[in-house]
Amino acid sequence: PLSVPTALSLLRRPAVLAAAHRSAPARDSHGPAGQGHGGSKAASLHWTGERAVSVLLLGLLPAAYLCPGPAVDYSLAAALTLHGHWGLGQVITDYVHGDTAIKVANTGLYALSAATFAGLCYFNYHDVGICKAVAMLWSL
Amino acid sequence: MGTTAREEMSRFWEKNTKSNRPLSPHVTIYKWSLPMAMSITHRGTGVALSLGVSLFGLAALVLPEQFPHYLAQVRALSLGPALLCSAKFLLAFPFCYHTWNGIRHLV
Repeated sequence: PLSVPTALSLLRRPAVLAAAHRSAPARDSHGPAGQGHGGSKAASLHWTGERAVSVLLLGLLPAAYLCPGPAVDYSLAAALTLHGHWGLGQVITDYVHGDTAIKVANTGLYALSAATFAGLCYFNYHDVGICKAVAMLWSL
Repeated sequence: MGTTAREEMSRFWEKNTKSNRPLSPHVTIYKWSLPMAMSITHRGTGVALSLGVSLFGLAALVLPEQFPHYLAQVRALSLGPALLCSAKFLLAFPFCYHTWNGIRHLV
C-alpha cells in the first residue's frame, strides 16, 4: 500500500518535496519536514497558524449553537474567512504554476477573501447575523 | 551555496512547459485508495464551502433586501419536504464531511 503523502503527490503536480531552503511560505500542508540549514520560520509558523485557526473555528461551531450572538458572529466571520483564505491558498500553490499566474491567482484570492470578510461583517451588522441566519434557514 | 528550491522548481517547470511533453496518465490509471479519495474529497468540499461562504458574503453586500425577505420568498414557494430535506442535505453533507475529516487531520 502506498503511503498517503506519496499518493497525494500524484494529485499534485509539483514533485519537489525536499527543500534545503524554504523561501516560499505555505508550501507544505503536511507539516514542516525539518528546517535543516536554519532558513526562515515563515512556513512553519504558517502551518501552525493554519492548525490554530482550524481548532478555533471548530470551537466556534458549538459556541454558535449554544450562545449565538454578535461575538460569535464576528469571530465566525473572521475565522471562516481566514481558514478559507489559507485553504484556497494551498490549492493555488498546488495547482497554479508560473510566476505571473501565481501572482494573479493570489491577488484574486486576496480580493475574494477581503470581499467575503467585508460581506460577512456587513451581514452581521446590518442583517440578522450568521448564527441567526443559519437557525432561520434550518427552520424552513 | 547552489540553487534554492524555488529556483530548481521554476527551472523544472520552465523546461517542461517549453518542451510541450504530454503528461503521463496518473489519476486516470492509478488504482484509487481510500486515503486518496478522502483527501481529494476533503479538498473538494473545502473549496465548495469556501466559494459558498464567499457567495453568501458577496450577496450580502450586493442584494438590496435583507435575509428574512429572501427566506420568506423561499418559504412562499411552498417546496415539498423532500426537496427541502435534499437541499439541506446538500448543504450539510460537505460541511460535516469537511469538519469531521478536518478533525481527523488535526489529531
